[in-house]
Amino acid sequence: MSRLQRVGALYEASARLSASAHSMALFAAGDPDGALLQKHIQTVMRMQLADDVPIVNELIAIARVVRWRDLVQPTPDRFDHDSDQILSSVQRLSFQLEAMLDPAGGAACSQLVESVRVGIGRRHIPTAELLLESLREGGTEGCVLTIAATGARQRFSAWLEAEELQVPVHSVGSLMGIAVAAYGYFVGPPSLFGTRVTTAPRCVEQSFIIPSWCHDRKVPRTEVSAFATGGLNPRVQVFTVGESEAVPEADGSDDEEMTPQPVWTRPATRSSVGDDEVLAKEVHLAGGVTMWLDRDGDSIRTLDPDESLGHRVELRPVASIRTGSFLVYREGETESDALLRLAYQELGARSELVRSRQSEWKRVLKERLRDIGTTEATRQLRALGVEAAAQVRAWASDTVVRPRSDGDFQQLLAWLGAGVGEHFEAANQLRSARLRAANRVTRALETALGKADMQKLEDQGELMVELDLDGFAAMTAGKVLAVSPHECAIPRHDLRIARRGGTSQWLE
Amino acid sequence: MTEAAKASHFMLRDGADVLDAPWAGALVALGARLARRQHSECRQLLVVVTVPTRDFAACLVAAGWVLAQRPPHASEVKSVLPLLVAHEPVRVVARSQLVGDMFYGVAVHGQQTRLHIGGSWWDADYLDAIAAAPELDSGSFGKLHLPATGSLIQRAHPNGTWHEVLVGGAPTVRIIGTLTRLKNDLDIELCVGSGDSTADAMRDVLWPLGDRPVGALSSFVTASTDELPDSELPVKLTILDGVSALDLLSEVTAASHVVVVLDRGAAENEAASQLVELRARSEAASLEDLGWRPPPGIEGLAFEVQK
Repeated sequence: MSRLQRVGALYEASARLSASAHSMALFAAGDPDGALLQKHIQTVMRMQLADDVPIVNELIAIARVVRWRDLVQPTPDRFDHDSDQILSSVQRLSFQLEAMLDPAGGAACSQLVESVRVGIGRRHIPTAELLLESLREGGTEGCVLTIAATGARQRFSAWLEAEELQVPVHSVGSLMGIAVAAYGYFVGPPSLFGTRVTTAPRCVEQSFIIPSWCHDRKVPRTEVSAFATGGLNPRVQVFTVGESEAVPEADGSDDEEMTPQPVWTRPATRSSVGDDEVLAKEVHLAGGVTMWLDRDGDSIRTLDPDESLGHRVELRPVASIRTGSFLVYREGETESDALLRLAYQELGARSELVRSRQSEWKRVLKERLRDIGTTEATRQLRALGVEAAAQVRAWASDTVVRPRSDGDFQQLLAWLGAGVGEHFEAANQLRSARLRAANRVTRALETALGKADMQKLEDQGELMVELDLDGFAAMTAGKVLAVSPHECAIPRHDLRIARRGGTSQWLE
Repeated sequence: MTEAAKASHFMLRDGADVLDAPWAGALVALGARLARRQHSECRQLLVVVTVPTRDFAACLVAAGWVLAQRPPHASEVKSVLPLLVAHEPVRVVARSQLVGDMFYGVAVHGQQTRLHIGGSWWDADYLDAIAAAPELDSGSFGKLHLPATGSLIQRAHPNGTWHEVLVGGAPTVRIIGTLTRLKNDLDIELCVGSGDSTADAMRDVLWPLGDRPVGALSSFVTASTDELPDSELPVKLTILDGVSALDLLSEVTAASHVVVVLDRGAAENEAASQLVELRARSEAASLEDLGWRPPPGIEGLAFEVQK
């Protein structure tokens, strides 16, 4: 299909959504075992056992992984690689919980443990059976299958091949690149695939397959559709297939997040942030990486795999980072540290002078902060008209070159009794050098990404790229899997440091 | 013929490939409607359109805008001549050529009026259009062969006024987006009417700044910039192509019209929520007042903000 024909077909497929008679199909397959697991998860959560016994959260996290795979990856081999690990964890937890819970709580947890065991042992999931049946009956000609599970495309392909069905398997990202297909199957509810699938369809007909215990039947719309003329309001027609089961509805459990969640520990409430601390949220990235992000921090390097070559890397505000975003980071060192290093290299012969000028005013600032404290320093600066006075602690840090506003910086230098002219000039030279260094990193990244496999990133959620740049050998792009709802005060030097391992093991 | 009927015969061509594309006609119509709308000095009209894929959309809106430009009243060659200043650059269309060069003066011999432009003398009777071009620097002087106009330009300018638009001056429309993508769209051809209608290449409608010397009717700017270049251009319409261009919305202050093209097939469309928030703080405007209705498959939203 030529580019022109493809664009025409995309408009046609979208135009069908505007037609009131048209809707997508949602097949809900009866799944009694899965329904029982869902019921037991809800029971344990409702009892709020974790308030007294935090490890209940770990059991819930494991149960959610089992439920998640039933939902998005119902292939027979979905637990082949980690069933031992899951079962031994469940075994350990069930021993511990027995001793720690009252009889009612203990009973609820042991039912959940039992459902998890059954879930892991299941080879045939009704949604998978339904998919196979549909492909056999309807034929595979012109069909594509799209999955929401990360890193599972090969498993799906191998499974379908073993069943002698030839169907291309896509992630949402790869689906967006295809010519329009006649028929698309989606494993999971529409909400998991997002507005790209529901408002910019790449298939003429679309069918979603879910287990009937999943009550998430929402069809995502674009941000503007509710207010727009011609706003798209895609609908699904629900078909229930097979044995239905009684899962208690209501009590808001419909809105429960189906994706596996990390076990967030709520931080102890504290009224103040220490002098060298900053408020930050923990994010979990693919590959078991965690990182603290400062809420009000500077922009952070992100990646958009959908963008064309040369435009994939972009600095975005930290506040815009959500589940599904891609961050580009260096392991073991923040990008700020590395950029500062590159910036001094860039300054060449001038670097010594700039370095000493910078350390002069920062040293005085640190002393001043030590003597009068951050609160008083902020107050005094504010009285002088320094707008971003609350950032004074950050300005003392080596990686923050200077306050953003010229006026603030001049006031600050004057307040410190440091010579305004020469320090201002030195900091500006460093800032320009840092900007040039950041641009060089962006260009090197774009070049490296040109050769990198974006599909791998989409499938695995993580990709390391080698850079052709001195002192900046490699960077990693990782998908954000979860952002903590809690803010914690953490030491400033822990910010934005990528750490492997930790509590993200029950994330997919 | 009504606007709708015209749109239904809108076609895109890419070599031998032809696509009947009423949606493309609707996007061109949007640009044209905006061009004909009363401009306000203190208010900015924002139009948001969501499309299934970004291909062509921003360029089509810009094409509609350019095609709807009208030459100034006194634009006939004879009436322009007395207004020209010697030793200032001019743009001329003559004998299927677009010329940009220094104007030195006029010589009259009996019935014949001749113009000294660059290194040559031109007979005024052979000029199709001429205009002062003070913004043209000597680096952009030159001579270009003009492609024959196709059905779209002919329909928009049945009296041959297109040449007057072409000599008329600086770009009034700017697209902010991904340059490699936008440049890919320039080779597509547009035509209206029946299947054998002649076509106009997008390049020959938009005349992007820097693409060819001498003439420019639009300007393309990369979205990966912090500051907008060419602030001296009299830009009246800015088109933000894709979410990445949206970051520059606050920089777009001069334009009285802004069109935001959102690709529903792209990730990270949550950023569009800022538009919904902005709309909540703005005055509603209706697409109906603009006389434009999005075709099936395109969502449209309009509101007005204080500049």
